[in-house]
Amino acid sequence: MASTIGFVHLLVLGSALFVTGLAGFLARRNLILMFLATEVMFQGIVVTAVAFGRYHGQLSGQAFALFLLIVAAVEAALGLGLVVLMFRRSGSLDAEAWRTMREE
Amino acid sequence: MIASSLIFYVLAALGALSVYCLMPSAGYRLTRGRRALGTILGAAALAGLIVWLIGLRQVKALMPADEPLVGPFFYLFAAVAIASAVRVVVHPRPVYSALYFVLTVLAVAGVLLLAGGEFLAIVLIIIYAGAIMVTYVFVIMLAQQAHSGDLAGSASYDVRTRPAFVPLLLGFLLLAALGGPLSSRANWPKPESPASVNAAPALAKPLIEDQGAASDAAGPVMTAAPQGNGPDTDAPAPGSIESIGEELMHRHVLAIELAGVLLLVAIVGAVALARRRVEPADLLVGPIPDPRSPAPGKEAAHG
Amino acid sequence: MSDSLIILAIPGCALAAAMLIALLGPRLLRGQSHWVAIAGVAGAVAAAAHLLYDAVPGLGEGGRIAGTLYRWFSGDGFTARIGYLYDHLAAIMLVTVTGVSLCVVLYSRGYMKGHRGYPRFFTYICLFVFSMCTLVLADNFLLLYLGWEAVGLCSYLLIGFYYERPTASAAARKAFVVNRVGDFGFGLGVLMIWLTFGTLDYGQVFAQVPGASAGALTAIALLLLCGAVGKSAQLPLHVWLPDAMEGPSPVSALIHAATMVTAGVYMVARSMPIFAHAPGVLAVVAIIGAATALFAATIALVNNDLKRVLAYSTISQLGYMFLGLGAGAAGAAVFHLFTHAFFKALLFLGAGVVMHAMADVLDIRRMSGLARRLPITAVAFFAACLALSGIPGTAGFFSKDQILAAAFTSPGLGRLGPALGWVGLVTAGLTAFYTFRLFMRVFAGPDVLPEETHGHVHKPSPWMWLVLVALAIPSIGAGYVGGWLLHTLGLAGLAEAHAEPHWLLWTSGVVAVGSAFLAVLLYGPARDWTLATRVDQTAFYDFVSNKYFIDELYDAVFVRPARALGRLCTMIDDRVIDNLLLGVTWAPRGIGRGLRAVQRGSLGAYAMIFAFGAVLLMAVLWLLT
Repeated sequence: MASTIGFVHLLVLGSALFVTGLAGFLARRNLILMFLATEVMFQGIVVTAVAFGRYHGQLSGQAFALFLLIVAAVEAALGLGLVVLMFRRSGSLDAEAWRTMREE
Repeated sequence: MIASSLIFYVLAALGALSVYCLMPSAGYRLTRGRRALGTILGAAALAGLIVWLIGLRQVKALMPADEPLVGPFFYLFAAVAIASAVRVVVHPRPVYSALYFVLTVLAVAGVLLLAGGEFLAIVLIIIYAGAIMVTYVFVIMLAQQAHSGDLAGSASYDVRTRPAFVPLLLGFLLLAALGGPLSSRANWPKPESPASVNAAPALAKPLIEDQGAASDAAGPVMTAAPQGNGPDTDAPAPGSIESIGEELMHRHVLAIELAGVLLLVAIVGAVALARRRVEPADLLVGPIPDPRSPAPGKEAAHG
Repeated sequence: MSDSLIILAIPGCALAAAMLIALLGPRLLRGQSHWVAIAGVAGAVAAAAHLLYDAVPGLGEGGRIAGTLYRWFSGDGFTARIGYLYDHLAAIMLVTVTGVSLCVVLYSRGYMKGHRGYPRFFTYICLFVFSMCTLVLADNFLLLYLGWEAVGLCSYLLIGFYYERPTASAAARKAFVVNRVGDFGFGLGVLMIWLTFGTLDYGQVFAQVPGASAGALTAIALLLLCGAVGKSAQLPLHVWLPDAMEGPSPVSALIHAATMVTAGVYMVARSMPIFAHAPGVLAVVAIIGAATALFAATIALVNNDLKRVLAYSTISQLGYMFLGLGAGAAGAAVFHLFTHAFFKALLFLGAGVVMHAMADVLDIRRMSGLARRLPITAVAFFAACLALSGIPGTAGFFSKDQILAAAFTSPGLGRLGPALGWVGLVTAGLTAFYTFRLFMRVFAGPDVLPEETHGHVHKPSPWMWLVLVALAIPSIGAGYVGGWLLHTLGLAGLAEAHAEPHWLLWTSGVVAVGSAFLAVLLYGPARDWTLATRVDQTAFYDFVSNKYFIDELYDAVFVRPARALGRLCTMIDDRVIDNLLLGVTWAPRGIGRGLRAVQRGSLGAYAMIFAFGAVLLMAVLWLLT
């Protein structure tokens, strides 16, 4: 039976992707992978945005998704640039190695 | 309805358990048996989720209901997207993670294609799979030593993640909080009346003038979408380049400008970062030892 | 040129000169700053004189030239205008102010030459002339108050001109603070006028005066008097003026003798319609004036500091003017103001010459016989002494007699009038005595120089002695224009014509000459100090020479309690408030210490906390819906 694919289907897909990314972000120690996990979260958000847009019959959802893409690209460019710098400094991509961010 | 929510919670818990098993966590060694268990649990959760989704009644279709293949394709893409996303976050080798992420992007693009976002789907593939992932892969290559087939050459922070229990517990809770209420129809937001928003040509012009005309010309969104693709109507389909362009240029001009500024800032920032030299004084003397790894020196030598 | 333009040119010239010197002085003009000042003040003098001869005769009785320059601000029924009012009173004030100012500026060319703050000095002087002219020309109480405060500021700046001397800056501070006491009352008075009449314009206020309640008028008059007492150094706010002698001598001559201190007299004369309708207050004015005149004259008798004697003399003479005002004879008071400006300025400028010559020594016991060394100065000084003593025929005699006559015959004072008149007469005797005591000790007798001079007497430059001579002429002769002033200038309209009793004319003349003769006998060529020394040893002498311990009294009553209060506040601040603040900072510090554990610097931990917060938020939202 070909059931209708509705709002909830897309939302559940989006949430699943988002949560997967979140778990990865929290669990992984590799800085690059943490970034990658945020990209997965972005995918979830893109799906959700489009779903809401469709649900309300608007194109704003898709426009929002496009802006998300832009932000993701910017984040990737700058974040990865910083990661490379950090790697050159310490020779490691371990997020746990960066403990200098605290007040002594 | 309560039962439906319960099923979702169970499925979410199964999924979380599966990812927990698959995660190369610091607490245990990732054995073959554990991996198999995780895979089986994950497959079961995914299958259960799809069945659960099929069983859900919907008031309003977001995808063309009269096309027989739309349903199967959606479930296929959804399953691939979730599965590959899980692989992204659990794979011990970053390069593979990146490649799985490309798969995730492709699957999401497929879903978007079905949901009427043709332009967005293409852009997603071009920008994510094409541009962003290339950057990722470059950086991974730059920061990673080439290694042979086994995991012996991998860095300690890839082989051993943080303890995965709390992250997955949080993930499960979030998923339950997000998805649980969805199974109750009472929690769905009210869709806006199609009059104000649905048809793309209406959006291109001031809303107030065209409200009457738009409500006459276009029916509900979902029926309008396939019609828009036909050659006999001059109204562009929602999701086509034309309609998206009109949407962006008419309703989100300021955001577009800001996005342009943001990109410019990113370019300048990236150039500034790239030109930055690491002074010898800034170098940390070797990698900082991980208090949790038993023999930091040995592993750091590989990284 | 219209009269209005010429009127505006008087303060305008001074302001232009002040700004020019302030802007260009330190870099460009430097030692030549006086040229700008002379040009500016001379322009003001020319304008004032032109008006006196050209416009005033046409004014007629109670005539005026008035206009509005612009509206400063307005709102809710209140309009602050910058307007001018030129009438007989303003005319004579302007002539006096600009005339003495020109003399002082010319004198300062010689006196201040080579001083580091040369341009600064002329800036202040020109600014003062501008402020004083603004004060005089103002056509409403607000602008009057503005000029009032501006001259106070100039006075403060000029008393503290030698700011590197601690005594000078202390004197400036004292003058400012004491004036503040009076100005506070004045400010309240202006507000009260606004509340009572709904306007601050002279014309509208004075027109409404007859219909106003007596209580309000009395309150306004007393508050205005409070300001006048402060500015004109009357009892009990006289303490700042003697200390103000720390400023340069030309400043003492211009501001603290001839012009600024007479602002109080001017203000009371200007507000005479208000005072006249509050008769109780006029008696207060008269009593304050007579008491101050006598009080200050007694101190001047025994003081040995050249400039301070003159300062007390100024206070005493201002007391005369207040007596005249209190008697309702504003014309007589302003006439005395006019003559006094010239001879007192001359005395101060002469004192400045002596000070220069004696290497800044002012103690009259340490010098004598200067007439031989400074002959021109001695002659000019002598002329001024004659005028101050009220020797018949000199300027002071005429104006002082006008006041005494007014006091004796004043209908408003009733039986109080003759009593105050006798006080004035006694004071006239004292005045002649201390004036000639001063002159004799300094200029007569054997040749004695303080050792600081090392036998060398610094001669006055031509700028200085020419000015002294120029001022000596009006000192003697200004009285003869009195009739012309009182009638042509219409000042007779201000004061009721007093039928001056003949006996008074004779008595005051005899008193003046007799006292002067006595002083010459005691302190003259004989140099017989026996009587003087015997007087010096009495307790009363001690009491008077310590200025009646007024400064000490104020110190004990006001300054010390204020200091104690300050110390108490400091202690409260240090002990209580600081500890309170420390206590307040203790709380966030403690919380911070507790929360520091969260800030481990670990990216993973931060992400975990963040995610936990997100989940919590979702859970809350879920539970709420």
